[in-house]
Amino acid sequence: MSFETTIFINCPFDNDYKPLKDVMLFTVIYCGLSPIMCQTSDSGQTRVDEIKQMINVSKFCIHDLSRMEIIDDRFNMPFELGLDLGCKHFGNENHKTKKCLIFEKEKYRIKSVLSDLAGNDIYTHNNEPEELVSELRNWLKINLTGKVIFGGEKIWQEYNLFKTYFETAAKENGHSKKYMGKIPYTEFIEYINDWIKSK
Amino acid sequence: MLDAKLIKKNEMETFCANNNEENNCQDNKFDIMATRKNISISLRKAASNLGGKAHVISRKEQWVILIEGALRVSGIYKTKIDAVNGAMQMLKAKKVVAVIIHKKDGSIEKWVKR
Repeated sequence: MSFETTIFINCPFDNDYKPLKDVMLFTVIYCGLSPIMCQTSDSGQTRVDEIKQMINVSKFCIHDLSRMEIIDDRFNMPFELGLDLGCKHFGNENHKTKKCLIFEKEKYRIKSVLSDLAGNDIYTHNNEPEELVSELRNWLKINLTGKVIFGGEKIWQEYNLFKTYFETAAKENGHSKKYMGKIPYTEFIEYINDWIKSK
Repeated sequence: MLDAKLIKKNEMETFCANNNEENNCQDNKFDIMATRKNISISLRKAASNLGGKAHVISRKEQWVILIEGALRVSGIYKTKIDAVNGAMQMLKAKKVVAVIIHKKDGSIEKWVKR
């Protein structure tokens, strides 16, 4: 996997977030990038070590802070965002070209408590998958200079068609509908790639 | 046989690494990829042989009917109920073979077949 086309997605893995995660994976692959996410498989390696490794090998990163509530204790995401920004600042020549997208659910919410983020791209999706596609696509278009990127509307329609293919193909491969949502993200990516290749 | 071929690629790599069977591993990887591709192609062929499916999709606070393979949407509606009714009329008129109703997040709510 090349540094130039790898995108690290740092987002929650809970069921409520799944529609956003699925559409995010689809959009980045549809735009020609290779996503990696932290779903720790080796218990010997801590999650943060795995994340540091992923930050190191990715030119592009998405950090979704939309689930971070000021009153609770879910502060891993902004910590990992800090690692990424640190990597860009102190890293080698490749790392200095890193592009980082920060997602939020509402505009200005995070900046009010993390004012050091001023000057970074913060995009909002309002917890709407369709809105996420359009915002993400725009960010990719700005950062993938010269590359043809379809409009958000087209990508959203394609995603809906892909979901039909996915349910049929997953069923064909022996997944029951009940457990289809629990397919590992690496396998979900294979389905996306298969679908894109067959078009 | 098919089940064996559908073992996840990375599991197969680990298995082969442990058994020092690199050549077999390469062959099996190609088998897995070929099988996945064949399923994908056969599903697409089956879909096109049957004719178009109409998808009811949420788009910018509206609902649209999109027929597979069409470049443009076939109808734009203010409510989901209207869009579903429009798609069901297409199904009755045998213009499409199935109606697939999506949720607002893109996942599938219901399939209606002719």
